Amino acid sequence: MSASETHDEEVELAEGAEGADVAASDASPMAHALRAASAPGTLAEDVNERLLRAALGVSTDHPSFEAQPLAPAELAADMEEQARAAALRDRLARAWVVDPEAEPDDPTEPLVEIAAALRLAAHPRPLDQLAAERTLARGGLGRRHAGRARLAWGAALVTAAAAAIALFRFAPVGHADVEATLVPARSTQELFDPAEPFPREGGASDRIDRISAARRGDLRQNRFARWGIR
Amino acid sequence: MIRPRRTAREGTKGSPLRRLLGLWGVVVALLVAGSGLLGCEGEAEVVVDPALVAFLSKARAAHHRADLAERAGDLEVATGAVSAIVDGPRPPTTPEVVEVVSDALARRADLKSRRGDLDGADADVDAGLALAVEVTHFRGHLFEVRGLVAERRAERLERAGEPGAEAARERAIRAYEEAIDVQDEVIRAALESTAPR
Repeated sequence: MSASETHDEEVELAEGAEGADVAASDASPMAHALRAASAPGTLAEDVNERLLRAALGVSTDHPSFEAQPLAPAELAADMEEQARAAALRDRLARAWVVDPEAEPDDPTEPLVEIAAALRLAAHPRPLDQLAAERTLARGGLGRRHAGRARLAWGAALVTAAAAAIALFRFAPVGHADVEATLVPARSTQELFDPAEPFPREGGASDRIDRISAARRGDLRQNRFARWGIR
Repeated sequence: MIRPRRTAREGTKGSPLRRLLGLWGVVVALLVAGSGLLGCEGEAEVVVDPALVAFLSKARAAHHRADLAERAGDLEVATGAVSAIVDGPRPPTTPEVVEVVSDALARRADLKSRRGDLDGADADVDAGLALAVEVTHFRGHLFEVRGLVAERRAERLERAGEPGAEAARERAIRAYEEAIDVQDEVIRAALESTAPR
């Protein structure tokens, strides 16, 4: 360390000691503010009260923060504010949403809306919770829409039924094809040998046996055709 | 949080939902009307259906019941069994129904004539011929039964010594000739339908 460097260090120490003496003397507002900022002390109750009232616009014409007794009007205002605050606190304890059935002149409800907005701004809820609440609200408040919804569903069902009927009856190609393959009712003459007339007596049971068996087969074929089996 | 509310009238008049419902109504009306119109297009061909087969099954049972009664010698019961086919409910008229009923009338005429009810037998034959107008063996068989009944009438008259036996016999001959004519037509029609073209 050179002689000049030693001299500079001594100068800085001397200036620091001088500053410490100034701060300790409470004579400088700057030093007072710095000390309060670095190590804030505890405000007296009355001073704190007056600071708050000054910030809220009460007794702003007072020249200083010296303690003085509160005026009766100020005390009354405080009690009213405290009552409203208590009412708001009780109201928020029940729910953080505006009651749609509340009286129009209820002074608490507007505060509830503001409080809820502030709360949501500070701590927003997840989106799914909001969506669920919206769904519930829609289901509960949308009863007047329920009739329309039922009507719409009914119309849709009627439309579907009519379309099914029309599809069945129109059946542009398939139905006609099926009808064309069905075995028609016809003479039973083909079941008997044309060269062999019926016997003069008897034989009726044999004839009906043959006719019945043949038409049962035809009926089976028609059923299969209608089922789409060829 | 104050929102302008629509009145009920504003909320529904001209709304998309209302327009959609209106459109649905038009579509439904068109579909129903169209299906109804198409449904009126001509009568479909009568096909073999369960009602026809049920009638045929009943006729078969009745004929077999009559067989048993005949073998037992009870012609009255046999006649009653066959009458169930003639007088009972029938499905819509088809060639099968006509032929089965006319065959039952022919059998009942035979049974009646055997029991001595010759007039009733002739009435059944006439009814059968009025029903089975197509040229088939069923119509030919009715003429045969008419001849059979006339033969029995002639025999009965002859046995009783009453007049009219010869006339009845001649009637039987005419009936058999008509039967032969019908059978010839049936054979001819069959040959024409199977002839190479």
